[in-house]
Amino acid sequence: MREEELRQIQTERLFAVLNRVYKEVPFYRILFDKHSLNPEEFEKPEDLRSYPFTTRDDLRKNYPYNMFAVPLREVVRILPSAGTTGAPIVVGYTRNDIYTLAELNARTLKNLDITKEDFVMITFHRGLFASAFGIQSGAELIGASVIPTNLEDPVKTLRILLDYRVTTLICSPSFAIWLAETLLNSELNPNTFMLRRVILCGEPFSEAQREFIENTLKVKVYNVYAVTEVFGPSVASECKARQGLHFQEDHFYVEILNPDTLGPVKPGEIGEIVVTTLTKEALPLIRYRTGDLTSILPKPCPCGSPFLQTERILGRLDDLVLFRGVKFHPGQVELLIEQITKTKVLWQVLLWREEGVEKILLQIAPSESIFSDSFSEQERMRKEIEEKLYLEFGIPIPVKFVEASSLVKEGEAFKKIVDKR
Amino acid sequence: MLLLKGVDVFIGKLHILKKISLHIGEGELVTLLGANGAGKTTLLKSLMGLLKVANGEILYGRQPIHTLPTEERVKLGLVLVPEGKGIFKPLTVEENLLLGAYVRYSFFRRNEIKQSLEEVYELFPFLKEKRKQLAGTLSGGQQQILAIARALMARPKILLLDEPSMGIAPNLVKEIFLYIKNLKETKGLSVLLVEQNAKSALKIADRAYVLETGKIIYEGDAELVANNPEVQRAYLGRDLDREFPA
Repeated sequence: MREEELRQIQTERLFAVLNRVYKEVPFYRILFDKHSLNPEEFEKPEDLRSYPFTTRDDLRKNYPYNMFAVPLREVVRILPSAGTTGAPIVVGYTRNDIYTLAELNARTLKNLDITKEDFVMITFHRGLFASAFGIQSGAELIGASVIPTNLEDPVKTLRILLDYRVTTLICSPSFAIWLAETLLNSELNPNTFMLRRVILCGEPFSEAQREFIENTLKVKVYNVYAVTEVFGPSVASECKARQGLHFQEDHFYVEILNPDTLGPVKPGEIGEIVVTTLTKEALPLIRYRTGDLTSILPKPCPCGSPFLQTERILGRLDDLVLFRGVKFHPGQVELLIEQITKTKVLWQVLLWREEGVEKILLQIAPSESIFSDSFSEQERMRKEIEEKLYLEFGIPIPVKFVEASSLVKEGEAFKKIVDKR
Repeated sequence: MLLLKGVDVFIGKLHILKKISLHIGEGELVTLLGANGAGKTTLLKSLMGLLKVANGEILYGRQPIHTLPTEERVKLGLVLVPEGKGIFKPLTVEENLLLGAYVRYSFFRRNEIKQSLEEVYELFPFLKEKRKQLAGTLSGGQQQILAIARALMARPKILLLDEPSMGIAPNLVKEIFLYIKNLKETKGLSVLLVEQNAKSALKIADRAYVLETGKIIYEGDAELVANNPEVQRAYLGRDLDREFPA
């Protein structure tokens, strides 16, 4: 597909989707009217710049189904946003959406030379459920043999990799690192594995981590970018050249915008990824602010793709914490602690890596009023917080009571999140 | 191959086509669906230069053609088979066909035209049998094929078909659609098929656009369009949920 054809397709699809949401989604009709925008006058992709943004907050306010552009009986799959709790959001897919999702993922996997001869193991935990679904459908469309697992034990996973002759492993970066660490400490010889590539999805990772996984597991590591709200996995992905992410621009109109001025950035500058879905039927989104940061790569990729090419995901715009694929906001933790202790207390979340595995610890400095002499009373409260945290986020977060003086300070204020990963 | 960029068309003061963007690739069969009065025929007429384009561009290859007169567009390879066939009933079949090559005609090229005629007869042998017959004596389906054959005489690169299934017996419709598909496959013609008979059109098309009150509200692979419940309800005259209530 040439650049010019791509622009034409984008224009056609943008016009259609803008008119569709104006007609079908009251939220957009009110929003467009408020900005006196008439989608019938939409002419070229640049016109989109005058359109308002959609945020995660809009999805929350319209929870559960108010952003859907089709009657619910046409929706065949509904995914609650696991992990990202607080006020929840919901995404839905029509039959065509599921087909498109599979196509997109198949395209990503085909670009990496995955064929029906391959054995693809897909292992994600709860927080990355949506990614697992999408990639699995793509791999099955190609005809590869898919092994979906929900194992958290790396020893067992290594066993499967070896015994099933898995050629491709698709998982989160932390899990791949954990697996590599486990392999180093085991008797297994990495050269006996059939594994050729590892595809990472769900969390950002560094080049050093990529190198570590590649050298230990003797594989090539590729990156796939997923946004659950937008579609799922394969919004963008790396090609074999591994020089950055290619956005699938025939299905998503992508803008990289300066978070402060909200104007487009020049190649090389860091900006926020803003996505408009072009083909999604159930939940089309106009200028959705993902909060993920990246920068446009100035040089075209050797693979010759006309699609927008960016650096890997460089970080988050907000202070959302990403831990083993589960996203949470510091405010959620604060609210939860307050509910149990009934007062404001000092707290701090520590994040670090131990042998490649992400670790988390919530430190709480109890104030006089809740400090109890009875050890068992204090222990009960600690247990209660841990339990609530687990129910809320779906991952175990250990809690420790400490002296306020031992919390890490930044200037005068206590930091809520100390990230040493 | 053919590109429309933000085309606006008015008839009198009525805004009929609103910012139409559409493309037809080389050797692609694209169908344009829509209810009565959606603007399908208006779109074809503007493509041929029978209606003026108020805003926007029509590009053929890379050449803007929206200012060219109709006959120039035909010479470039843009040929329309109009709604209701538009054949000349008092003329014979062969005369009708020769008129199709009118823009190509010159004394030195008459052998070339003869050759085209033979080619067309080869494609549709029954026309050869009836070449001396008056066109008005043919059946509806045959007249439609004659209209398509006449268009082929102009050596089109893009064939525009306006409701070829209209007023034709259902069993013949199938045949005509097969011919259209054949033309695309054997001659590498690009085809824009405007239809109300969405079900048959989607079966042979590569891609489809759905036009509603002058706006394109859906674009996609024919298969996806056929699966889209909204399109099904509006243009395929069926609602799966009502057909098979849960």
